[in-house]
Amino acid sequence: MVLATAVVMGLSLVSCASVGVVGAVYTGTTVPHSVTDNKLGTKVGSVKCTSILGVAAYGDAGINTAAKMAGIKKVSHVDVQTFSILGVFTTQTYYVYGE
Amino acid sequence: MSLVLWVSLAALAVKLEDRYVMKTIEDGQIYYVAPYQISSKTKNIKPLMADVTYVTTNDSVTMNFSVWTPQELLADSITLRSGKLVYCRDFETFFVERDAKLWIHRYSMRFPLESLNAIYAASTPFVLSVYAKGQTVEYGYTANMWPKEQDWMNQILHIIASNKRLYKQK
Repeated sequence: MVLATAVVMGLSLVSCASVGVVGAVYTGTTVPHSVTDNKLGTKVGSVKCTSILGVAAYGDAGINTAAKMAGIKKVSHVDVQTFSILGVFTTQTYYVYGE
Repeated sequence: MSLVLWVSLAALAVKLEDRYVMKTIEDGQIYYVAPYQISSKTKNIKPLMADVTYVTTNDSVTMNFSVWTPQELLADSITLRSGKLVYCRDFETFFVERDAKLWIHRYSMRFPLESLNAIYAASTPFVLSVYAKGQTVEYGYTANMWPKEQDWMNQILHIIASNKRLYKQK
């Protein structure tokens, strides 16, 4: 009962913003998040946020943070990779490309 | 209960495909190795977090890494020591920041792919040293950890080498 409640809470309260297709049981996707007019760069930075049971969520998944970590000044595009099991444990990783 | 355990274990297991992404660009590819930890060999210092980007068009590897220290550690030099070889490369400091407790430094080093291949082919783990005003902070794996860390990186390096060969044939 407790587990069922936790799963329902997890599915309904996933705290990282959901992007693209989401599976109720399992999600393992990489989808485009945004694209700019800038040429595809050769620098890459990533940031991650995690949500547990939809109750606790942590991580700095800002595009600006990822760009700063890789020394990117012009962002060309951003992909987002989502991993989730039953909505209980969800991570989203943002890959920022640029120059 | 077992479901929760399974979920937790599945969530914690890191597969090779989760460790890197590959992107096709004009005339080549970019490989990005997602952030991974390198243990600290210096007492009371957190492990560093490094990521690696390899671009086939200029055949260079960029290693960006974050260092957390109680005092500011604005590096004078950074070296990578692997066996008897010492790689002393130019580096760039992206930023220095401070959170509630620690100073955060973000550094970037560039070296040829063959250096990374040699470092990960070595039987002994490398040591990364950050020198700042007479202070040294060292990072590296223990001999026990090394085979496992070496294995996943070598698998990625193997994929890079295979794709480079394929690309040359085209």
